[in-house]
Amino acid sequence: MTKRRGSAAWSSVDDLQRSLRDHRYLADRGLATALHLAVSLERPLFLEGEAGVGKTETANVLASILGSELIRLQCYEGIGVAQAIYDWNYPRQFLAVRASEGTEHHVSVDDLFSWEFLVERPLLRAIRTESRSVLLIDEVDRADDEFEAFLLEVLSDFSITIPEVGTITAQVPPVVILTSNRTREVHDALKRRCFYHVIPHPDLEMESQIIRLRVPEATASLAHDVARAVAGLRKLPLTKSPGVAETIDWTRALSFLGVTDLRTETARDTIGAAIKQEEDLGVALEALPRIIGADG
Amino acid sequence: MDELGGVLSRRVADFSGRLRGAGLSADAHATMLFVRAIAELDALSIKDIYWAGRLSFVRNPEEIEIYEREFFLFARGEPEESLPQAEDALDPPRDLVAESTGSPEEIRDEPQSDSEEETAEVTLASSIELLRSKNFDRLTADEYERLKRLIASVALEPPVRLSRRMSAASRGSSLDLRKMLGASMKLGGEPAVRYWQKQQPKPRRMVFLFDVSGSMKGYSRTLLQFAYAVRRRQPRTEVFCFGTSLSRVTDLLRAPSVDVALAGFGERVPDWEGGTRLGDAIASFISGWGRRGVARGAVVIICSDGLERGDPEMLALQMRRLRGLAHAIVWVNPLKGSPGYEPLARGMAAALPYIDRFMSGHDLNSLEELAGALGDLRVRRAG
Repeated sequence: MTKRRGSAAWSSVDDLQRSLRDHRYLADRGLATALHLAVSLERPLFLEGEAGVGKTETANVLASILGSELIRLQCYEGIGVAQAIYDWNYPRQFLAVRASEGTEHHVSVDDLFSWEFLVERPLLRAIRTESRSVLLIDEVDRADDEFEAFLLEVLSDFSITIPEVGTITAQVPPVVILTSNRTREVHDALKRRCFYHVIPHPDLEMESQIIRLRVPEATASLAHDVARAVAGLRKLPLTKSPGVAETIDWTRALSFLGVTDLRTETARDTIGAAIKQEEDLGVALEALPRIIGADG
Repeated sequence: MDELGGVLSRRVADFSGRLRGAGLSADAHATMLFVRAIAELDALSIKDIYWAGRLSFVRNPEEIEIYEREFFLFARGEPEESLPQAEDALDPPRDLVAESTGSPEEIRDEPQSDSEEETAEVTLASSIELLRSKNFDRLTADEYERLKRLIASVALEPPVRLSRRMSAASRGSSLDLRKMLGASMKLGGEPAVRYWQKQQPKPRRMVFLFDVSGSMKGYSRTLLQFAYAVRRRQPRTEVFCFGTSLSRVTDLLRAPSVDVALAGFGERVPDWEGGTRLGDAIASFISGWGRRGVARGAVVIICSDGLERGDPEMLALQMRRLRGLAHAIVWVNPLKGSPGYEPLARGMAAALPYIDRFMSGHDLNSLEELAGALGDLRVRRAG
C-alpha cells in the first residue's frame, strides 16, 4: 500500500512508531508522521517545544534507526561561516610555509587554500558525507537573523561554495532537523521550507510508559507515581517546568534508593533531580504534599 | 483517477482558502507540502490528513488551535464562520482605532487653521515647538496626527554589544591570522608583521514592556508609536503589552503602517483598560520569554506609571530577577513629567532600586531624550 521512497528503515508511520519504541523513544502519532514525512519527502523538520521535551533526542534516535551519522550544529549568538561551515587551519598553513623554506618545493598560495588545510564544520560535513546523515541544527533561534538567511541558502540546494576550492553539492542530502525554543521568532522564509511540529509534554499515561522504557529497574507503581507527581509539578507556576529528562533522572534517583512508592518525604529529599531552579524549590516543596498526598 | 485528482485539488484549495480566512498564512509552499504529504501517506485516515495538514500549514504554536478548529469544521462540511463583528470588541480600543486610522482624505481635510497661507508656515514651525513639550495626555486629534510623523523620525542611538564577527583594526583584541599568513608568504613564512582585528559592535536587542492599563491610557498609543519607530530601525526589538496579563505584540509592529499596528494592538490586547499587576506581568515575561533568551543581554524598557495593584514585594523580586538577565533596565514613567512628582507609589518605589535609568516619556522632548540615552546605559551599580 505505502509507497517506498527515501528510507527503507520503516514502511509506514506505524512501523516508524514501533521502531522508535524499540529504540526506547516514545513518539506520538504527530511526531512519527512528521519524522516520516521529513525523511521520505526530504524536507527539513522544524521542531519546537519546551526545554526537556526531547527535541534533541528525537534527532539522536532517528539517526540510530536510519543507521546514519548524527551531525550536530549548536547555534549561538554570533555564529558564522567559520563555526558552521568551514575555517582554514592557519597554524598548519604557517608550518607548511616554514617547512618548505629552503627546500625545492615552495608552497604556493593555491596549495595552502586547499582541502588539506580546510577545517570542516558541521554543515559542510553533513553535505560531504557519502551516506545520508542526520543534521541537527539545534536552537536555531539563538543564531542571528543573518545566519538564518545563510542557512536557508544551504538548505535549499544542499550545496556550499568555498571560493578557493569550489562548490560542493551533497550526493545524498542529509535529513535535517531544526529545533527552536522560541526566544525569537524564526523567519517565515525558513519555516515555510519545513514541516513544523510542536512537541508537547507527554500525558500521564505516556510519561509513565516512557519511564518504564528508560528506567526498566523502576517498579510500575513508582513509574506511575513519578509521572503523576511531575504532571502536578508542571501545573505550578515554575520558571522551569521539569521535562522528560528530569522525570527520568528523578525516577533513577528514587529507584537507586530502593523506593517503590513515592511518598512526600522521599519526594522532598530527592526533588533536586526534578527541580533545578532555586526560586522554584520553595513553590515545589510547598505543593508536594498536595500533589503526592492524594493517594500517597 | 484524474477526476478524483480534480476533486481532491479543489478540496485542497478550499481547505487552504479556509485556513487563510482564519488567519493562517496557508501559502503556496504550505499547500504544496500538504499535497505531497497526503500523497506520501496515502492518506486514508482522517488522522493522517489532520497531521499532514498540521505539519504543513501551522508555523506557530498559536496557530494550532485555529488549525484544529478549522480542520474539524471543514471535515464536517460546515460553512466558514462569519467574521466576528467589530461591535463585540471592547469599546476603548475602538475609539483608539477610529482616531488613528483616518483616511488620507480625512487627514487632508483637517480644518486648516483658517487658511492664510503666509502665516501657515510660521504657525507650523512654532506649533511644532509647542508640540514638542505638550503632554501626550492632552493632545487634540490634530496634534496627535502631526506628532505621529515626528515620532517616526526621532533620532535613535541604539544600544550595542560586541559581536563575534571580527574586523580589521589598528589595535585590536586578536591577531588576524589569515592576513598575516598572506603577508608572511613573502618572508618565507615568517609572521613578521602583526595584523590585528577586533570585534565589531552590533545592535543590542531592545525589549519594550508596555503597561496598557487604564491609568496609562493617554500615553499608550504614543509610546507604542515610539516602539514602532524603533523596531523599524532595529528589527530585533521585541514588544510586549500587559494589563492584567502579558501578550507579545512584536508581530504587530511588522505592520506596514503605524495605524495598522495600532489597530492591531486594540484588537489583540484584551485588557487594554484593565488594572495593572506589574509583578505578575514581569514574572510571566521572565518565565515565558525573558529567561529563554529574549531578555538576556537586552535593554529592557518598561513603560508604566508604576501604580501596582498587586504586591510590591513581588514586584521587587521580579525586578531583581529581570536585572539578572538584562543588560540594563530603563523605566519610562509619564507621571515623572508632572511637576512635583515623586516615585512614592508603592510599586514604583519597590522597582526603583533595580532601574538603570528613570525617564519620563510624557512628551516628544522626553522621547527624544530617551532615544538618545539608549546608546549609553552602562551605569550599573554594584551588588
